[in-house]
Amino acid sequence: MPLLKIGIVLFENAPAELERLARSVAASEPAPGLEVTVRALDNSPDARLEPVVRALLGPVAYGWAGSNPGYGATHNRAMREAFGTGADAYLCLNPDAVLHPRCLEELWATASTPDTGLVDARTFPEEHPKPYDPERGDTPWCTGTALLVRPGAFRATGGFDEGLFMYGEDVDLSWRTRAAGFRARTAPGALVHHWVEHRPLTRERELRVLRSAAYLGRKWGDEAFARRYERLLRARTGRAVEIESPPVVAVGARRIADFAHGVRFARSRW
Amino acid sequence: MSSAPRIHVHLVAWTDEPWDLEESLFSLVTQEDVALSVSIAVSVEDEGFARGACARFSRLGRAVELGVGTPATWSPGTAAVAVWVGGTLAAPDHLARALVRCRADGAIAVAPARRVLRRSVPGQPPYVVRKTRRFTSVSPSLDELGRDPAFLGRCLVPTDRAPSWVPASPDEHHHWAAEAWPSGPVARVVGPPSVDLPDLRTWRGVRSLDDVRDALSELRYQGPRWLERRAPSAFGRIRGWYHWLRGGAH
Repeated sequence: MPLLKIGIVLFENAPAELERLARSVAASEPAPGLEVTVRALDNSPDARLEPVVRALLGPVAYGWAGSNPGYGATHNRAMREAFGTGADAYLCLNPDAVLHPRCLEELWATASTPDTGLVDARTFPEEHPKPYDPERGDTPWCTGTALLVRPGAFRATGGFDEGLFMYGEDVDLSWRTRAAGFRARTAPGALVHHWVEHRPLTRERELRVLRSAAYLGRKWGDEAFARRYERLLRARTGRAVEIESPPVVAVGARRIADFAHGVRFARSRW
Repeated sequence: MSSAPRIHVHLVAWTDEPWDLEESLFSLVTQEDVALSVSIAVSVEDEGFARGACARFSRLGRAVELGVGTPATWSPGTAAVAVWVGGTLAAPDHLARALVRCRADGAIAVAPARRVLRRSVPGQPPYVVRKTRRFTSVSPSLDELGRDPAFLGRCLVPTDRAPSWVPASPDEHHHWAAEAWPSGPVARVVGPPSVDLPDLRTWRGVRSLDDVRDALSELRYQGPRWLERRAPSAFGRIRGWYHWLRGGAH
């Protein structure tokens, strides 16, 4: 029986938010014969979410990291564990999301071709404006809100780049997955409710976005893009900011990267 | 028992696209801070699908009563009513914010909205080709709103101003609104667009000054985004000046 492991990275989340998510996971209609398990990985400073998570998701679902290594690093650890124990797919799922009852079924159906490495769900009600092929689902990059990873893609890429603490790691993983010969696809019928439009652009978030943009530019060989965002970062912080040297991508793979559309990394439909 | 104010939404299927109903229902069951009664009017052939969708969404455990069929009138104890056409989507706080506006002075609340142009894809949900912002005046007239067949989806009508009958066809939507509009104030909800209306117009050319205002509204949104992508440093400076000037004005 195929096995899908869902990984949720927590950081001081509101119990009501987790309750909404857990209820939507319980209400899901997974594909016939697909076994689904859930694991919550808590990067909070303490383990006070443990009883909440255990009550909502079950006795073996919780793990406290004791530190916050970042979104990508935490999912990487969970993916190594999942694929090491025979999982056929791993779903990175944001804790503030709500799954449509058919989301898992649609993600799994789209992921079932052997050349597919990543599949993302459509965010709802505000769909991400990046394009996808309406018939085949191919997309320039997959969003990390509900992102299904197949073992082949994980083995070929090693998962998320842990140099990106937050923002842009999904773009980078998608580009590397495509460079490795796998497809990045959107499952049009998979909806995941994720409402972030009302959140203000905090200074911390803005700086993280700028840093990730500069990092991606450097990694994928667009120095002009990297310098542009480094200048912005310097202007915002009022001092020189050192961007750590990323592992540089081979020249042949760089054609996949798209820096022509700012930090959207793809043409926008609106 | 939820103490949140109750809103009745009548959802009408005008297209043959089952995803329109599915997505509107998902949007309704994820509305926050209101208790909802949703009645769903579908053709006899689609009743089974609609009942299945109700069963699916009721498992999410939200404060929503879902039912298939057109009621004779609005549910008792309802604070306000809305009529959605399948394919209408809203931000999770849309109905709660619109209700606050209704309650301020008994106004019909009209939310800022976007038109969504979609393309049918066999066996898949429609592909969203583009979303464009609509101009919304402070007190929108029926002429301004009615250019979109699905316009009632952006309106929330206090129950005491809502005609007691429940509209179905596009003509009925116009008649229903024409009865409600003269009975009191109509007011725009402040803020960014919170409703996406399916673009069901048969004619998309420029016909009135309102169409020009729509185009300018979209340009006003897209212009800064274009600059942000092309020249983020210049955009950052201009944004800084803008906030500085706004701050200075207070």
